[in-house]
Amino acid sequence: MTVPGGFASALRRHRTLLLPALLLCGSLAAWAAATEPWSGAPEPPQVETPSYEYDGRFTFVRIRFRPLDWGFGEYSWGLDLKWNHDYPQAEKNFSRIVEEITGIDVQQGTGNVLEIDDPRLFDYPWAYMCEPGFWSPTDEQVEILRQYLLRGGFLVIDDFFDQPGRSAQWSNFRHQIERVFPGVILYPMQVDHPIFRTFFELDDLDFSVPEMGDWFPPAIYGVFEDNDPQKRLLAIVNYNMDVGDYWEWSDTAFYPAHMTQKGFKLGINYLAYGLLY
Amino acid sequence: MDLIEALLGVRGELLHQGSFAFAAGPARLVVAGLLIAAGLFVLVRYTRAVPGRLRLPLTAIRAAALALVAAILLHPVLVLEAIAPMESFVAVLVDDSRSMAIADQPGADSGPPAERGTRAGWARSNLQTDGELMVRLGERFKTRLFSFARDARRLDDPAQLDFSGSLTRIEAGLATVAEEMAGVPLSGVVLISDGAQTGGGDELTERLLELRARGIAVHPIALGRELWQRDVELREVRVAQRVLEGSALRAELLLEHSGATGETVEVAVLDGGQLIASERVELGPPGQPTAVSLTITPREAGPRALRFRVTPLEGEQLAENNHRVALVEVTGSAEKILYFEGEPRHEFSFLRRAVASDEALQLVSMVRLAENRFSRLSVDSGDELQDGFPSTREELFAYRALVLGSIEASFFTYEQMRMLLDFVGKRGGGMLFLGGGNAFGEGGYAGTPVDEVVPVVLPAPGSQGDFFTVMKVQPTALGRRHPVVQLTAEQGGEDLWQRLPALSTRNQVTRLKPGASSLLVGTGDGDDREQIVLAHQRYGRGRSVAMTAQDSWKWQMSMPLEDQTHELFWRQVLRWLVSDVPDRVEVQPSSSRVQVGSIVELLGRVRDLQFEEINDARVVALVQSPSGELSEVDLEWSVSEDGLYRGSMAVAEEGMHRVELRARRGGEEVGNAIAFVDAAELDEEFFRSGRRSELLAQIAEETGGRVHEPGEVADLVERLTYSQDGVTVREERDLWNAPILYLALLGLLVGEWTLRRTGGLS
Repeated sequence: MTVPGGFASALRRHRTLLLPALLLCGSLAAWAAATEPWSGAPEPPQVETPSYEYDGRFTFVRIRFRPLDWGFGEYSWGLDLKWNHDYPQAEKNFSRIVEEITGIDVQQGTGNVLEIDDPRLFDYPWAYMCEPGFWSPTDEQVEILRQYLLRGGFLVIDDFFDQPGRSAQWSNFRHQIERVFPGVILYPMQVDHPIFRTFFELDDLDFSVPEMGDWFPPAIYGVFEDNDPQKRLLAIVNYNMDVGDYWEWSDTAFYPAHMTQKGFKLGINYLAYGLLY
Repeated sequence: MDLIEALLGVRGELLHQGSFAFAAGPARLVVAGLLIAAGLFVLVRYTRAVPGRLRLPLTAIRAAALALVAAILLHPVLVLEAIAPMESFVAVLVDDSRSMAIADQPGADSGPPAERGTRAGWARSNLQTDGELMVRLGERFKTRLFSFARDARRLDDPAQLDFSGSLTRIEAGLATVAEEMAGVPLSGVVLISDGAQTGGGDELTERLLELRARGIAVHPIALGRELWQRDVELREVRVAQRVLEGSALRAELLLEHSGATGETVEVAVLDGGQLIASERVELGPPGQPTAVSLTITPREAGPRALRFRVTPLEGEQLAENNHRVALVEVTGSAEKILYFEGEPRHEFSFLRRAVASDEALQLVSMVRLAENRFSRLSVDSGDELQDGFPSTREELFAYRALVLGSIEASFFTYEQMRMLLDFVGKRGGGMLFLGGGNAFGEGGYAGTPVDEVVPVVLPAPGSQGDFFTVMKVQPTALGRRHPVVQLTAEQGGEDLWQRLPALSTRNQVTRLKPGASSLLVGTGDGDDREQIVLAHQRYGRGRSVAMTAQDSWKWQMSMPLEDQTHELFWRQVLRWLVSDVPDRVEVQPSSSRVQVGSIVELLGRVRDLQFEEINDARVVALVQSPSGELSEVDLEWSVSEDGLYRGSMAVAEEGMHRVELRARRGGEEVGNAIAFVDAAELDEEFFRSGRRSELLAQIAEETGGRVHEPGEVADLVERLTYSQDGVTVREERDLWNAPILYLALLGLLVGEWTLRRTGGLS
C-alpha cells in the first residue's frame, strides 16, 4: 500500500515548519535532561540493606547514590549499583579487624547504607563512598555534604580508576567535589602526614599491585578545611586504588597478603584520624 | 522628761543613786514645831465639832495635810554624789567620716552652708565653744576632743574636723580615748556618730569589754536617720578575683532599698567605661535584699576594675551607694588540662576541636588506641606523657585540670587512684568525668578511691546490664542561672535547648552525691527517671564535674555551621574547670581596693611540687607602685598554718600596684605569683550609712552608758554629772518644791471640802 504524496512529499509541503519543530523538540529534551533524570528510564533497583540503630558506637557508614549513567540506556550491570562495590563483605571484615586490633568500640555487621540527604548521616561523622566516577549528587545533596564535612564529618572516597591517558572518572569526581567546595584544591598526600601514622606507621603510599598489571598509577589526595594543608582533612581520596576491595577479599587469597595488610592499615588509619583529629 | 521627773523635779534614776534627808536648820525646826503644835490644837478642836459619822475620815484628811505641810517645812532633799566641778574630764569623740556629710539631720541649721542639715553640721555647731554641748559640759567638766574615722586623733579645735574619712572604725576612736585619758578622772565618753561602722567587728567588742572593765561609760549621741525615704543601695557584689581572658564569670549582687517596692531599676556593669552587661530588676519588699545574678565577660587581660552600677531612683536621696567597684584579674596565660581518653571516639576529636581556638586553654590529650598503645596530642615536648598516664604526683599535679574519658577503673593502679583523689582534694585541680561505655559505674569506679570525687552516685558493679538511653537535655533551675550553661544571649535560652538534638548516654546516673548540684538533666522517651547530664561538687580544695552524655558532638553535627553552641559549651566547661585552681605559690592581699595611706596585709602560700606546704621558704613580695617605684616586703611564716606567710605593705600612691611574690627554698626558686592592689577614693562610707541604732545601743549598754538623741544634750550632761565616775562631791537636790507634794496637799484639801459638802457641813 502506498500513501498518496508519501512522507517525503509531506516534508516538502511543511518544510517551513520543520526547523522550528526540531528546535522545540531539542529544547524540550535539553531542558528535561538538565532538570530531571530521564523520566522514561527505570529506577535503580531498591536494594534492601540492614540498618543499625544509633547506639553511640562507631558504625561503618557507606554513602549510597544514584549512579551517573543510570537511565540513559547504558546501564547494563544488573545489580552493580556502583556505590555497593565490595558491600557488605568489606564492612564486615573491616569492622571485625578494627575490633581485633584497636580499642575502638565498633558496631559489628554490615554497617549502615545512607543517602547523603538521609538525616541519619549526621549521626555518623565518618563515612565511606566508592566509585565517585559515577557520583552525581543533586544540588541539595551537595550542600548537605558540605555542611557534613565542615561541621566535623570525615569522608573516605575510594575505588575509582582511569586507564592511562584517560580521565573520565577523575573528571567527574573533580567536577562533583568542586560543586561541594568551589575552588577546592586536591592535595597529593605525602606519607609524612599524620593520617598515615595515626595508628600504623606507613612507610610508603605505594598501593600498586604488580601482580595485576602496572598501568594504574595509584595516588591519594586530600581535601583540607579552607584548602589549608595545616588544617583538618575533610576527605581523603584514593584514586586508582580500591582499599575496599582489599577488605572484601581479605579472607581469600585474591590479593597478596602484604597488600591486604596494607589496605587494612590504611583503613584503620583513616578511621583513627577521623576519631582523633 | 518622764512622769517621775515631772512629779519630783529630778530624774527617776537619780532616786536610786541618792538617799533622802531633811535639810531644815534649827530655826526652821522651831518654826515647824510651833506650826505643828498649833495645827494639832486646831485639829483636836475641829474633831470635836464634826458629827460622829464624818469624824474619822475628816480627821484623817486634816492630819495627813498637816503632816505634809510639816514635811515640806522640814526641807526634804535628795543627797547625791555629783561630779566635782572642773575636777573631772569628759572625752568627746566625733565621727569624722564621709557618712557624716549626709544631709539627714534636722536642727543642724547653723554653721557653714555646705554642712547645713547634715550630721556634720550638727556636730560642728555643738562643738563650737558657744555650742550647746560644749557650754553645758564646760559648766562642770574639762573636755577633751577626739575625732575618728579610719584612725583616731586628739583635736585642739573642732575646725580640724573635715568629715572626709573613708572608713568608720569606732574601735579606733575608743582605743585612742582609753589610751590618752588613762590616769585622769574620766566621767565618761560622749560619742557623736551615726554608728555607720565600716571597719572590723571583733576588735570593737574587745574594746568595749576593756572600757567596761575600766568603768568608762560611753554615751552615744545618735545622728542621722535610720532609713531613707527613697533609696536603693548596692549592698554587696561577689565576683571571682581571677578569670581567664574571654571567660564569662558570674557576679552575684545584693540590692536593698527603702520606699521603692515593686519599682524596676537597671543594674549595669562597666569595664573601662564600656558597658559589658546590664539587666532590669524589680525590687522586692523592703528589708529583704533583692539578689541579682549577672554573667559578665571582662574585655581584656590584666587587672580590671569592674564598676557595678544601679540607676538611681527618681527622687533618690543618696546616689553614692548605688555603685561599687570590684577588681578582677583577667589572666591571659594558657591553662594546661590533661584529657585522657580510653578509646578513640568522636567525642574526643570534637571536644578537642571545640576548644582548639581558645588560646587560654591547652588541652594536652592522650588517647588509648589499643591495649598499651597511646597517642599523644598537643604535648609541649617529646618527653611529656612518654610513659603513659602520669605515675607520679609531680607529673600529674603539673596540670590544672584533668578530663577522664571512657577509661575503665582497672586501668589505674591503686596508687594512681589515690593520686587522682589527691589531684582534686589536695592539689585543688578540676576534674571532669565524661560519659562512655567504660565510665562511671559502668567503668567499675564504684567503691574505688575515685568514687569519692565523682559528684554523682555510682551504681555498684554488676548491678545492671548494658544501659543506653537517648535523652533530651534541659538545664535545671540552677543551670538556667549558671554561667557555664549559658549558651545563648537570650534569657534562660529555653528555645536553644529545645532546638538542640537529643544526646545519649551509656551510664545510668540518676542521683547526686550530698553537696553536689546538677546543672543539666536529660529525659528519655518513655523514661520517667531524669538522668543527670552535668553535675558538679567541691571536693577538698578542688572541683569535680560529671558530664554523662557520650556524644555532645551531636550538638556540633546537627546544628548549622555558624552555630557555636558546642564550642561555647566546652569552652565554658573547661574554663570553669580551671577557674580558682590554686597555684603552688599564691599571693592574696587583704583587700584589693584600698584607700591611699592604707596598710595592706599580704598573705602568701607556698607549696612544693607535690603541693605539700613549705614552711621554710624565703618569701619576698616585690611591690611596684603606679609610678614605677619598687619596694620589697618580706613575708614571714605565720606559724598558725602550714605554708602560710604574712607581711604587710604600705600603699602610698593612688593607682594600681603590682605585687609579685617570689618564694625560694635552699637557694632554689619554688615559684612566684602576682596580685594587684588598687588604691583609690573609696565610697564605703555611703553604704549602710543610715543611723545604726542597734550598734550604738550595744556600745552604750556594754559600757553602762546610754544613747541620746541630738535634742537630749541637757539630759546627757546631767547624767554625766551624777555618774559618780571621777572626782565627786556631796550634792543635795531640793525635794520640798517637788510638784507632787503640792498636788497631794491640794488633793487632800479638795477631798475634805467635798466630804464636808456631801455631809451637809458648812
